[in-house]
Amino acid sequence: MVTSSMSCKWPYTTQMNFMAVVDALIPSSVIMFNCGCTVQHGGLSLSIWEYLLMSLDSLPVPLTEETSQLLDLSAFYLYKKRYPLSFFIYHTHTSKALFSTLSRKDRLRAIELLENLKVPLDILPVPYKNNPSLLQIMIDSLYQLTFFGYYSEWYGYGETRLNSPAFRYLRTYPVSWTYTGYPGPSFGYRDFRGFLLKMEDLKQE
Amino acid sequence: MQKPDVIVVGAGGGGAVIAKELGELGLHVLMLEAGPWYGNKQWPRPNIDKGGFCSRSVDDLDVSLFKESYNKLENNMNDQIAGRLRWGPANRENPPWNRTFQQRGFVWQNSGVGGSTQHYLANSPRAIPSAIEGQWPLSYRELIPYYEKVEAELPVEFAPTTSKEELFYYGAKKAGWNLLATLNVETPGFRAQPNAILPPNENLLHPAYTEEQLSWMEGCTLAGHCINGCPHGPSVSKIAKRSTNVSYVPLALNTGNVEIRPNTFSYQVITEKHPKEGIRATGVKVRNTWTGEREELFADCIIVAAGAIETPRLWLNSSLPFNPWTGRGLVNHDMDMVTGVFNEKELLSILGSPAVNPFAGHTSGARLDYPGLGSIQIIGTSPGLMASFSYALGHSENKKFHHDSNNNPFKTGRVIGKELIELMADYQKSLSILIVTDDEVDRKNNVSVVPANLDEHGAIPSIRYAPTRNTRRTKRELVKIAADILLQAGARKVIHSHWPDGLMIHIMSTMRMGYVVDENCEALEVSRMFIADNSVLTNGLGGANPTLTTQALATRTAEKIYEKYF
Repeated sequence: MVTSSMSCKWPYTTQMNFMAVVDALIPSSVIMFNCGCTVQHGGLSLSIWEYLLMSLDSLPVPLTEETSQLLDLSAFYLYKKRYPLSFFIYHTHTSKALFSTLSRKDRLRAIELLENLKVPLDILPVPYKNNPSLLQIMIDSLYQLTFFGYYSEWYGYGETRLNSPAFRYLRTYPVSWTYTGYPGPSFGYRDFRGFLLKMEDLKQE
Repeated sequence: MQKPDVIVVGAGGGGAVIAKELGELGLHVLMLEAGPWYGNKQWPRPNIDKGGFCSRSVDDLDVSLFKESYNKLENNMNDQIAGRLRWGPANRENPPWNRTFQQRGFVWQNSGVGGSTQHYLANSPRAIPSAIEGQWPLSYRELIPYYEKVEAELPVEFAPTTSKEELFYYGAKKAGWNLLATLNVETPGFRAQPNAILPPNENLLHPAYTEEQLSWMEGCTLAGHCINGCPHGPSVSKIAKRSTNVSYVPLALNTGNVEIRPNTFSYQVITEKHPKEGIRATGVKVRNTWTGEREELFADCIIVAAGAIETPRLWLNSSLPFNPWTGRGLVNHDMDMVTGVFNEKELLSILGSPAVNPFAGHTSGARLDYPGLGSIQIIGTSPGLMASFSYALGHSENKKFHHDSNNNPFKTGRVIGKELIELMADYQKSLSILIVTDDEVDRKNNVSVVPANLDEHGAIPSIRYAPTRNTRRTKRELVKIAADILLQAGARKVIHSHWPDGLMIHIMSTMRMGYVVDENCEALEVSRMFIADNSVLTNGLGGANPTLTTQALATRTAEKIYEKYF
């Protein structure tokens, strides 16, 4: 898989968390057929974490760092719940990329804690602090952007992937199209099967 | 251009219609549009350079430029943050324009000449008559001649049948529903979508023509890119899907009386106190989205067609007189999605082919209407949109498929991981149905502004929506009907997405006729200010897609403006 080398604009710990998100939502998988099996590359291999970072950075108020912190906080609460007696204090710096240390199952749990507002809302980073609808919209967006990025042509932009959107060009076949059987943009299909109704038949109405 | 007779704010589904009608009546119209203009020689690189200033000639339209911009790739076109068809400035390096939400969800709108009709599915049903009679200041009968005029102008035709329509009709018939051969729906039943899409190319099945050749000829090629932005046709004015940038805008330019300025955001209405007319609108303040230059423009009448979010925002940010219904009564058809996945064997026996191919044909070519409940409509999109709308947008419900999926094929909520991969591997064998609920108007649902929350155009809109108990019940009924049709058609799995209620695609009724505007769409408190977008609809039309009714009203409003002020 070709991965982009342009991701140094985000702190490594932030990248790790977003890699951990897309890997939990769309992991690489072995697909079985009658005559054998094949590997389907997941969101991590297709650099969808970069698509997430790029998208959140393009919002009216960029939210990559704050969202990464959210994930860490949720991971912290998950650890706290699991090891209630341990001496474990959350600190924004030392807990960076804590989310990425969780298993896939636990990462999904941590995301669900946020979605269901099961973390104290008053300690979240601004602008999520005491803003449950923004928090839930962001969680929805993580799913939505991951799925949209993964199954759209974005991976096919190759090294132009992180360019400003007017300067991206398809460089390679978007591999996810083979996972769905989508033939890509089309000039037309000849699947014309007649009409159920015609306007001219209703003229006497 | 001399001082225009009227200024139209917004070149979308309503604005382009009223501009053309007034232009034909001989009035000088200046239409302002916040977003870019694709397919116009004045803006050869619409997302990169500021380009020209205005265009008033149909000769400026260029189909090659149009096709270059509308390249059918879903990430490039439909990405809501940086796509060509988004709610934001032409320069895609800048972020989209901001809104705040008081619940989960988002608003899916486009800026640009053509507005949200650039990505709409061209579904053009008339309102359900029972939703108009006794509830609107106008009768359904009064609307009919305007419906007929718009249907002829666009034109509207019933969608052709492709595999996905055939499968839906099969399921609907088996589930016991009747065929509705009508435009005026009084009873429940299914029918082909009345769509503003040219009939299929006459040579579509002729092997002598390649698909590419067909895409340069007149008529729909069933390419399935309605939602990505249709680029197929021999000229801009003959593009198959009749977004207003290819239908009403060329007609408006043809009158020689209409000038259009894209990249121009109107952020305030200017008013004066007149001894006879009271408070009246005289102009608008605008800002160029490339240069930031601000300007004041004046005309005899101001028509606001900025959409059901920005129109109330404009009113509220212009400190116009208080009206208790400004921005209130928002309805959005409380939408949802139900998707069925089929086996090849069943499909072969019904369709004669092993796939539904949701990417082929009109994006939405068939519907079922149920007066009192709303409607359901099949929808087949490109895979990124399908994955995100069918499988990502629900609530996480933690319910897996029953082990014996033959006995319990129904699932609600988000799908991730292996389940998602398996479902998307069956993309070609899937059919989605959009739930469009006839939701009740509730004054608490609204668009407001908080003065502290600003962007370069003033206080940003804040959106609140929670469905009433009746709306929730109605939506559940429609979900059941959709799931039943899919199962009757032989679906082996049915996934109910369970969308958040605040998902705004059909946004209506925030400046309701009879409350904020009169039956001629003139503001009750501000004379010479008219509204020509979905915000004037008194209610959600019984679950009919709003564009055709807004266009019919815009046609009627143009007549009334001319009669009253010119």
